[in-house]
Amino acid sequence: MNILNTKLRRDLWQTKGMLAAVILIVALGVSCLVGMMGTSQNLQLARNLYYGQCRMADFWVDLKKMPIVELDDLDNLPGISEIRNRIAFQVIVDLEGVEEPLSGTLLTLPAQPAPTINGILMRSGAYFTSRRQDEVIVSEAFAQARGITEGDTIHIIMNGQRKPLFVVGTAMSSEYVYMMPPGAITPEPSRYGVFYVKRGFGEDTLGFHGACNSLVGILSENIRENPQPLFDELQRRLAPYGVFAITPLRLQASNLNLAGELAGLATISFFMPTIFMLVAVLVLNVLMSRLAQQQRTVVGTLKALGYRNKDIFFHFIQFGIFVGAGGALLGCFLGYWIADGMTLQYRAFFDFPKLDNRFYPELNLTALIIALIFGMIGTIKGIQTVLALNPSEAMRPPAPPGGGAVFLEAWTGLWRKLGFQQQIVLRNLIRNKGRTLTAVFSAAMGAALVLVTFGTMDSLQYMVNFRFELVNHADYTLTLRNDRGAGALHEALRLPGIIAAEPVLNVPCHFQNGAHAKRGVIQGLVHNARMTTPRGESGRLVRVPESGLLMAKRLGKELGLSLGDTVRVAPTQGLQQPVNIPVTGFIDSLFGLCVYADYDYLNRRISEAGAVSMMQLSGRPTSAQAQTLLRRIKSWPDLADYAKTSFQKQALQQTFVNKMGQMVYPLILFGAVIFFGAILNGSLISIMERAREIATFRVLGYQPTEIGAMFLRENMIQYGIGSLLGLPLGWWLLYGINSQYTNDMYSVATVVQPMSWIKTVVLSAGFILGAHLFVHRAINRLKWQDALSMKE
Amino acid sequence: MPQKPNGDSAVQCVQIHKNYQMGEVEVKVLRGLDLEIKKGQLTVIVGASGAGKTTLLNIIGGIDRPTSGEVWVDGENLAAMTDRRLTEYRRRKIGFVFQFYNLVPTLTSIENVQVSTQIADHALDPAEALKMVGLADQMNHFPAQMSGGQQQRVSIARALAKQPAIMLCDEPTGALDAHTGQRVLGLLSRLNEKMGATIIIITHAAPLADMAHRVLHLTMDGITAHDNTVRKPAEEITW
Repeated sequence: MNILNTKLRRDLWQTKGMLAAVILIVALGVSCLVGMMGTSQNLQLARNLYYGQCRMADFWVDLKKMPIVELDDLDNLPGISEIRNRIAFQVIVDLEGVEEPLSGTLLTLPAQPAPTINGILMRSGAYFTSRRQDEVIVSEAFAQARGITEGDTIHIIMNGQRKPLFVVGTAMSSEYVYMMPPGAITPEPSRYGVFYVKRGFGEDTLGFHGACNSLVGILSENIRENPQPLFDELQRRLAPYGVFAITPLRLQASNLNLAGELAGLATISFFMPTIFMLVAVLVLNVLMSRLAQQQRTVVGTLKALGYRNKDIFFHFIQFGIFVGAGGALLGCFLGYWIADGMTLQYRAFFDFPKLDNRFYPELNLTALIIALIFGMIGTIKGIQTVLALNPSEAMRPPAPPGGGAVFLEAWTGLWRKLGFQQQIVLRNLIRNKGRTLTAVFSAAMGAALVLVTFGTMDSLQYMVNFRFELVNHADYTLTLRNDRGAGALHEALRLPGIIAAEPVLNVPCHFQNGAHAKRGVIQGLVHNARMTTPRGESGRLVRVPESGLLMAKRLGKELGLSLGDTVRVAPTQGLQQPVNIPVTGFIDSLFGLCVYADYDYLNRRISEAGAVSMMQLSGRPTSAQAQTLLRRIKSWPDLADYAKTSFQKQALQQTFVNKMGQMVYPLILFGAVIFFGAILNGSLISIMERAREIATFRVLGYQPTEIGAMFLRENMIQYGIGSLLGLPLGWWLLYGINSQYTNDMYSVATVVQPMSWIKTVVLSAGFILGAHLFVHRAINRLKWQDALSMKE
Repeated sequence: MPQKPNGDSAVQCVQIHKNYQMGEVEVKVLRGLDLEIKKGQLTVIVGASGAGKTTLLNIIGGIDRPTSGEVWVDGENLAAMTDRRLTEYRRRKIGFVFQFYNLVPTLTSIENVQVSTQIADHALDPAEALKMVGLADQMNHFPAQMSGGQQQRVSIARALAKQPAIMLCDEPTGALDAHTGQRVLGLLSRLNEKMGATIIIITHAAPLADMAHRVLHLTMDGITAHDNTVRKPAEEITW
């Protein structure tokens, strides 16, 4: 129907302002979907490629020491496709001109390059040569952070010996996409690196001739879904060699972080577009209802002329198609740009050889289809009433809207106190329930998005503060390779500038309660410890009981434990004698699944006396004292890791919180679009419908600002109510998003500071007022004289 | 009355009843109407406001249905037709002229005529239709740029461009001044004479009956009919 297309084009042009608002809302929904799903797909593609290139293992086994010959048995174990042995060792890195002892993991590789499980990708230089035994390949991130290149010599302290290593190249490995130092939460490339040495060098230096302490393996396809029986068998067979842990890929630290991020993206890419599409449907419904009513006579005439219902339906549905297609087109562009920006941000967190943004035709097509469907739903709902009328009814003017009293008028005392302008506003709102509800819903969504923005930053900041101001009060943490006695503590107290030191006993173990089992670590803290102070709800201090375990709530829930229950604890090191220990308290734990016990009690339960795994120190050394302190720490043969709390806090703040802010704050703009789009649409339609009323006020002598004030009151009431409703909705949305980022390594608490609630309300009010400027302009520009001469 | 119309009849209504439900009250608008309209005649239906003229026209035009009764047009009973069939009937057989023109405001004159020619089987050229109503120089004007009389003439052009068997005019002069109204009536009269179109005009203005071949008086009590032996030219009709 060519002529109806001509009508369509002109109708679209006439309503261009309002349609643009809806298109923008649809576009933002599409951009969220395309942007976040696109980013997720970028990460997944990069991960899959990287894992394939490096032949990422399906499981890791950490042991004390095992003869390599025992591997022959394991090679034939059903379920294992391939297995490789290696030596892994925590080392301290001593760089020239760097006082601070840096941490590292030493891993052995075959002397000859060959495809191997958890292999490496050379990034510069070359693989090992036959020229020197002490060649090392350094992880690229660390090398770049510390300016290390091929030909440099670095020193590694291992087994009490300071060894020079000759750098032949830099590399990456899929095992360390998220490269965290032990005990840290975020990557610290300048503080932690991975160092690949020849197998022979590792054997000689570490005394592992014909032995290994790490196995990495690939599973057969048929047991991937349920490898636990294989792991149980491995545990049994390798028990004589001191199995510390068997870690499947899904729990490997780097992969776990990446998986958590992908899960979070999946959640957000569902919720966010849904919010925008729902608002778009409602706003478009209001617009199309108005358009259909306005064209009621035209619809009736077309029907009278012999146009079929489907012709007229198809004519109007094209509005929805236009909105959907327009929104999708714009949204796909925006989405690609968003994915580009987010992918760039993720490069700061995740170490991929190649993490690029791509265009995904299927994703964009899906987004287009979704946008079209929502556009059509909004249109159909808006026009169906008029379409259903028979021609004669359609050509008759509609029955006048109900003009009775509204329920508020029953409170006559209060009602009379309101001025007539207030009464007009309230009557309009209550009589137009559909539109008022649309406005309330839109404002709720907009405010919810704004609150999610502020709440995300509050939640992340709370995590940082929780760890570094409530729980961890040490200035330094020294982790020892092997448990030592009280002598270590005395040695620490003699370090320059150190005024206090507390020992910590770490007992890696398996927890079991019936069918529930979980790997973890119990930290033994001295009575009334000051360096580590476990916290309960709302940061309440919780004292470590003299007996029993103080357990993270999340871990307790996973193990099905209640207060007073007993859990079976099987240490993976030392005597490895399982013991039953009662749970005497639960705590909040935002980082890791912490379990605490009294230091002396724990020592007794594992048949030790005064064992020290870690020391927490406090002090304010001068710079001269710090130099001496660091020099002496570096020389400790048992030192596995050194951490300065202030550096950790800074890394977490910068890498985690600040960068997240860059990704999250644009949500405020999205919220603004919802507010603006919904308010402009609703108000402009209202102005069109009430043109005669406005004209009457003008004739009576009202200024445009006074008329505008009535519209402002209406908007402040309905959008204000919506904004307030959006506050709990936003909290709930934030809670839902944060729960997707919960894993064994961290749990994002849902925290919204009082200022954030206030800021959300203030911003929402600001958006309402901002949109009103445009409404006021429309009132000023209304040709009210023409409205007076319009026929009824 | 015979069950089916004879060959001379354009429209034959048999015991037409039309009731409307207004809340709890049932309003009887047409009460057992019988009438016959001959082909090629200009018939005027007069009656006071509320007598049911528009309702009757809408039923004949297939845009409303009788509560009971039969409406025979070209051997078919409209009352028994499905919605789809009625739409086809309107498309092929009926031209409608409305009191308030019902033009599409975003289309020009010629485009408004094209709205009907594009779905008609044997349509006139839209420009030709506009020439016939004296609007050759207004083809690209929008309704907002035209007077009431001009808009009504566009509405007439839209109706006649389909070359319908029956043209139905609902108070075609109701929104016009007397002089313009005369011109519109003259146009309708000429169309009847030159094209032999069956034209039915409803009006509350009794003097218009003088230009008709046949006049039907519609009241609350029923309908009476008489034929005019002498017809007045439209230009001489005053009301």
